[in-house]
Amino acid sequence: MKTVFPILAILTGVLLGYCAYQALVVAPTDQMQGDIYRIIYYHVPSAWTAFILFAVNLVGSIIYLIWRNPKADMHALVGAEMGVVFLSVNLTTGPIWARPVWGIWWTWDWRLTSTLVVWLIYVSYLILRRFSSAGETPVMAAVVGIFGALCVPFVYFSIWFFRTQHPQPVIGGGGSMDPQMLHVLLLNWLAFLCFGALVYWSRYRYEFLRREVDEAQAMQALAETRGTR
Amino acid sequence: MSDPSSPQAFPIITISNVVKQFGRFAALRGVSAKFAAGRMYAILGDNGAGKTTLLRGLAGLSKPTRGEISILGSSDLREICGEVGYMAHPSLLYDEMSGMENLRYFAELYGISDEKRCAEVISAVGLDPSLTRPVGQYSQGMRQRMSLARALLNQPQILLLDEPFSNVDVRSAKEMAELLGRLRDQGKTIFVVTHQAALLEGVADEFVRIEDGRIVEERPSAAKTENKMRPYGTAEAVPFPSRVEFPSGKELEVSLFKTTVITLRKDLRLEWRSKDAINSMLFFSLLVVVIFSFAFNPTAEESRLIAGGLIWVAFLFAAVVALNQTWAREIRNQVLDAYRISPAPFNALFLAKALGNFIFVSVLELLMTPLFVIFYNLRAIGPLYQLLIVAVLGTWAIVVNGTFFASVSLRTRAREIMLPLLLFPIAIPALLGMVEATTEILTGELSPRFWITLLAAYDVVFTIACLIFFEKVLQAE
Repeated sequence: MKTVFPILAILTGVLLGYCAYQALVVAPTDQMQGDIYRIIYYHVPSAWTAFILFAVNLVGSIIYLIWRNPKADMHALVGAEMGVVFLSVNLTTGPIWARPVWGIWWTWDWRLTSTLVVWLIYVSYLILRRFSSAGETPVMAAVVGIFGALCVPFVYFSIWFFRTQHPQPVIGGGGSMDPQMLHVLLLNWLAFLCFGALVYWSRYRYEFLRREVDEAQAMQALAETRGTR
Repeated sequence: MSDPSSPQAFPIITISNVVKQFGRFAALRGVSAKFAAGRMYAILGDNGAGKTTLLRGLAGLSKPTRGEISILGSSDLREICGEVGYMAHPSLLYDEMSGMENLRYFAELYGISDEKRCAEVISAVGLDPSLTRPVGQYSQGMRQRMSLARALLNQPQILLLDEPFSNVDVRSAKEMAELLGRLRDQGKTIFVVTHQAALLEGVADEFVRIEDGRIVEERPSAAKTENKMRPYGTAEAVPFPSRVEFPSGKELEVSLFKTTVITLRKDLRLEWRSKDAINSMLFFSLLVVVIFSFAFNPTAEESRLIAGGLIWVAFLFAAVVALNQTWAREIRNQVLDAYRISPAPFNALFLAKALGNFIFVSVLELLMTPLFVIFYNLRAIGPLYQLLIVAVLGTWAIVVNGTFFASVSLRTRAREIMLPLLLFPIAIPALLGMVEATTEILTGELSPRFWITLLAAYDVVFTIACLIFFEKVLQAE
């Protein structure tokens, strides 16, 4: 693993650099919006990656509740943490894009609001993990993770019944895009996925080792207590 | 040949290499033991030695991290919960109810509807069954006795008593020890966690010492070794109720419906007496109405457009006040543990709490809606029955999730803050449906059918989810 990780990191770095070049230089300029539209290559892949990570949180939560496997709990935690980070990128790049195009940073358009709601759901999940007692945390978090995932379809189905200022989704939402732009967008998503996987791996390893150290310290404290008796 | 009365020959309880960890702290560190039927064991040890954790493990309140506990041949302690009586350090009683009311409620959780039985156990512990004073006004000694009466209600074979003599005067403690002796002589297996070992000399059969989460000593009492044990089963001053025919394990299963009804009845009675939830919700929602009125200062036309949002946000905020109180009474004296060790279904508790909250919030809505109509000059253009449907579905959406997340936030630090943090993001789709549907009914512009369908689907999905996961939340340790 010690040799694989740097290689993957270098490959991801190269891919991210190549995709940045594609997004900022190669992809054609939008007729209406000009170059500002290029933020789409970061705005959209970050949202897609976030939702994949929330799906990981859901699967981890379900597996933990069934088999009480601590590794599943770690996957759920890392999925939610990184999902929140990627969705934060999406929520930050959105207003940066909106300001020159719509003339406002934010509007309470339901598509924007719904994304913010999903972000809030997973932030509340992370707050719960911080505030609950050690032994009970994984169960409580798994349950809240599942409730959060159950809420997501309701949030997104309700979008259909609102007129929205936000463009329709490019994939599966009726939106259209120049094939070259779409190609660069998908390429950027791939780069985001690789980058996400790399960070995910590091964060998971860190959590795994942190718990091992905790366990070892607890055992050491126990041994010391016995020794003093 | 081994002695047939020894634990090894006929153990009623077998503990195999039990480890119980709370995060990084191991309260039990590989406990193994066998205990025989019809004996009294005094569990001794310093504070933090693991005595209470062991007792909670035997009561089925705390699952071992590793190892196994088997009682009456079953390692599923819920299966044999009717055979176990548990008295904790806190009273496990509702302070606001009298002793008789408390016992009547707990008896019903075990499927015992005979009031005579409650009066018998109260008399047996030396208290007056006709005492109408709430338990909160009892002396500590009386509370301990009533707590013992609760543990005896279901005529258990095994009694687990955590510090029954603490804060009790010497005379009462001696009387309690004698009562325990009589119960042991009737064939019950009794575990007494205590720091007052002297009280049990001559009563207990064995002394078990726990240190650092391990059993370090098991010795028969001196009186037993010298054959000087005093019989308590015969001519005693206070007669203990004769053994009642207690239903077998299968019959013990109390129905979901019946338990929901008795728990709801108990909650409504307590709320009727205190009116805590209703009063605080009313005051809070009135505050919200006043604050909104000068924050928005709407015209009559604007009122119609924003009233849906104002009404539901006011009700949601006010409901959180009541929802935060949902489990307050259950955790005050750890009464929730008394429920958990009973054979009553867990979902009955959840449904009763959710229905109780639904009634409280509905009362609030009934009282506050006329005020909204007056203050904001409202007049519904759409049909009123639709408004009623939205109110029922919306209220249920709030209370079902609110009751559930109140139970989740029970296990967290700063639980009053955690409830809205968990509830509000999840409730947003429902709130959206409630607000949009109400606005459409008030303005008569569109049909609220879609929003009503969304609310109904939301209610179904989340009610099912709450019922599936409530037990996991309640049993998490």
